[in-house]
Amino acid sequence: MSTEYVVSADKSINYKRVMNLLFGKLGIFLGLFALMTVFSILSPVFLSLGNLENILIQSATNAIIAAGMTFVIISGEIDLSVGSILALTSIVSGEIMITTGSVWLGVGVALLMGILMGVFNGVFVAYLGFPAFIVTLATMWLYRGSAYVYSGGQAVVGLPDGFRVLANGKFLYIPYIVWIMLIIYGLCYFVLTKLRMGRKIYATGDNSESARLSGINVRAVKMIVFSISGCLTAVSALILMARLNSAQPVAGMTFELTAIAAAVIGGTSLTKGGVGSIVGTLIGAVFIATLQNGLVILNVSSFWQQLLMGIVVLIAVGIDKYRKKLS
Amino acid sequence: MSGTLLEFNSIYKEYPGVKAVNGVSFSISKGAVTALLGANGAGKSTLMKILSGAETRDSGDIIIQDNYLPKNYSTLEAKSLGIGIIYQELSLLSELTVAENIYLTNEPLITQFPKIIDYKKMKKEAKHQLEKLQVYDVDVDEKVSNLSLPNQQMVEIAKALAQDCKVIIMDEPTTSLATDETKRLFDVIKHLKKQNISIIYISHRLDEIFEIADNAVIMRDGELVNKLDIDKTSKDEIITSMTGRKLNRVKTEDEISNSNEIMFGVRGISDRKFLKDISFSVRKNEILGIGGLVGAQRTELARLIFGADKLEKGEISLNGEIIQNKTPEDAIRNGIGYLSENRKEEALNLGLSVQENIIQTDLPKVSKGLVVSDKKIIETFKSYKQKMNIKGAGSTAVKNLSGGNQQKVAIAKWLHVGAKLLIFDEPTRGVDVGAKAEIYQLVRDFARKGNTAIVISSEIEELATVSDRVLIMAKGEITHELKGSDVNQDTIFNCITTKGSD
Ligand SMILES: Nc1ncnc2c1ncn2[C@@H]1O[C@H](COP(=O)(O)OP(=O)(O)OP(=O)(O)O)[C@@H](O)[C@H]1O
Ligand SMILES: [Mg+2]
Repeated sequence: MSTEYVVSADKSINYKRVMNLLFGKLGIFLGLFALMTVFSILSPVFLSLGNLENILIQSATNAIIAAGMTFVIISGEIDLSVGSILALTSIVSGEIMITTGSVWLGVGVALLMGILMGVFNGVFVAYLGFPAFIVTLATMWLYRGSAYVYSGGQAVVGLPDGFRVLANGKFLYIPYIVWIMLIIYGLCYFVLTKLRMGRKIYATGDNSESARLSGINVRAVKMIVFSISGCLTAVSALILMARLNSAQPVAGMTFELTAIAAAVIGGTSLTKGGVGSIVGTLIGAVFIATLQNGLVILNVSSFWQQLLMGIVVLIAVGIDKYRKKLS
Repeated sequence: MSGTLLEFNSIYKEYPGVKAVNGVSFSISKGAVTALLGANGAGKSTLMKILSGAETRDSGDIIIQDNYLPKNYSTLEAKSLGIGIIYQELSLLSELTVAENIYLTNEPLITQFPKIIDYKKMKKEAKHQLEKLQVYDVDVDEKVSNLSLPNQQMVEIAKALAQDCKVIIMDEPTTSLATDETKRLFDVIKHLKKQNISIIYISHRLDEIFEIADNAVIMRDGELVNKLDIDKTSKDEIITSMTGRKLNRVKTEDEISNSNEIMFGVRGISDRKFLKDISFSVRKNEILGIGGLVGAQRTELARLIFGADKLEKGEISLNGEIIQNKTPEDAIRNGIGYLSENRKEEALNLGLSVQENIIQTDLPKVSKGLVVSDKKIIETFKSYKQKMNIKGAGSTAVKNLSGGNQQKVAIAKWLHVGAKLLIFDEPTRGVDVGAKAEIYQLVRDFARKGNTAIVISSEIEELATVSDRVLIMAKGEITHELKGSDVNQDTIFNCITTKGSD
């Protein structure tokens, strides 16, 4: 009797392990693979090199913002202001590029502004103890409003030609934009998994009081994650500007939601800090871009695209829940 | 005592890699107190979670008054079957009031449909439940998060008593209670027995078992190894079946530190409300115990020294130098560590892995520059796993360890820092007899290596065993200092109970 039990138990453990892998770390890769298979069957152009390159370029803006968002969410907070940070940085840095003619000055100003707006968010959350949801909801309007006021609602056009290189240039057959995305993800992966800072971010997100009592400066951690989010959003702003060859005060609307979606699809937990992976977010962002790209190729209307996005997010969260139940 | 109430029949439960409960069968009589004993990680809590519906068993039968329970049932269904539980880890909802917690899912109603809660009745009854436990100083309208740990525990007990139970499971109910409150709990248990209610009582304090239990069942590594009648057994017999070996009574006498060098001291420190002008010092190699009743403000004192709360006034010195601890980070840099009494909320990152928790207090130690080294992390974990006999892998989340093993991780975390002074607040909460002796030895080893340790404890036996010198506190002041042969259980007990100095 007892031996029988042991056998069946071992089987069930193996089964659990397989299910864990399928629905856990591997799950998102498998999902992406399945999606690509479906599209490549439905459309011959989908798997062309040109289109794959397109997908990566299209995912870059969201992916880069989502990387910063992942830091913020793992630390137990949220940043709703990224879309507006994107708008304000691109308006101001676009103006500067045009008036001074210096691309590098514009880039520098954009990055600095992104960081400062992140610091502004961080101060309210870390030092004044305001909830991040409320603070960044407020700064979402504040930054967006500033972009409208500053630009008078007008798009900034006529960016220097040199800046367009960012959108068109390639290195080793791969577009600059894709390189930038990959390098950023490499750095983020390094910070989160190898640096001391990464451990502190996870610890703060899991339980900030116990992290504080272990000697972790949780305020500094929060300042840093918000600055990272702001800075990466500025990078994304520059890329979008180069691709559109203009800066617009309405740019980046609802980008915060797409970024959160990428993180969540990639397995980062919105409800509980201290859980998440940066690789997952990258795949999540590529997944979203693939879905949008494939549907466009198949001529599916944008109304349907939104509907499908909703379903995908629900499935992702469902899988996450199922996986937790398994372990 | 008349007849069987409840029967476990070949219960199995396996977690990935651990057979937590491995074929356990025994029965519980009506109106009896059954002690469920075993070392840390033996499977006691798991078995009880199965009974209360919080976990599902893999196989086996649970029979309550001749009814076979279904394989899957919720905690709510268990409640309606008359199974009440006081969890090892507090399970109160901290943002709700005391009354709301006590009557959660069980609220007295004004009308059945729609279900409108009768708040007036609820508060009155909640108050009544607490009074049964002789708790008079807790406001039923207070948010649970504002209560002290012992008071939270009393609320947790009141919550289990508030429902109609046939059997009440108590999983280490006294770990955060002082002697006096424990006594009140025992009065209540005796009262429940008279009403023919059965109790399953889990504790690592064997004295309690001999005082309150009728019989004992003993688990080891998930299996049931012994059933004993309390009247016909001894502590030694219980310990032997728990651990599978004879425990050498580690008589912890060693040469008391002769060093006269003062290592750590505070002068006139105060916070805004509780602590008034505290001064004391500790010598090199010395272990200072701090005793007192609940409300003596011992934890507040520790937090003040550690920079967790704001110091209003006074000086802290270490090795003859005055130090400033504005934050815990400063304190650790200055060579001071603090093990919080509140394991779940303050001492551990429950969602992170065991090894991650241990290294957290000193990341540079396991890093090369800014980069952490996985190899060093694993080495560090292995050395503590061996030294402290931690049951569990380094990569498992701490929340999946048994209570006692969690406590060992919390201690390992502070041994990992190269501190000069460690303040242990209730260091052996929830650890088994064997591990307790090992922890005392670790504290002693730490202190004797040219450091100092402060041990805050509500267990008088613990204070007497581990300390070289004992301070007694009451209401934010130091009332007694006990040295040499005065460091014994009777004297400590007398000083704690007779307030004010003599
Ligand atoms: N959710 C879980 N996931 C994985 N393993 C678990 C989980 N809960 C418990 N375990 C493991 O099951 C075993 C039994 O744990 P349990 O909590 O029942 O011990 P216990 O007898 O109550 O110990 P203690 O005296 O320390 O409270 C331990 O090895 C523990 O690590
Ligand atoms: Mg337990």
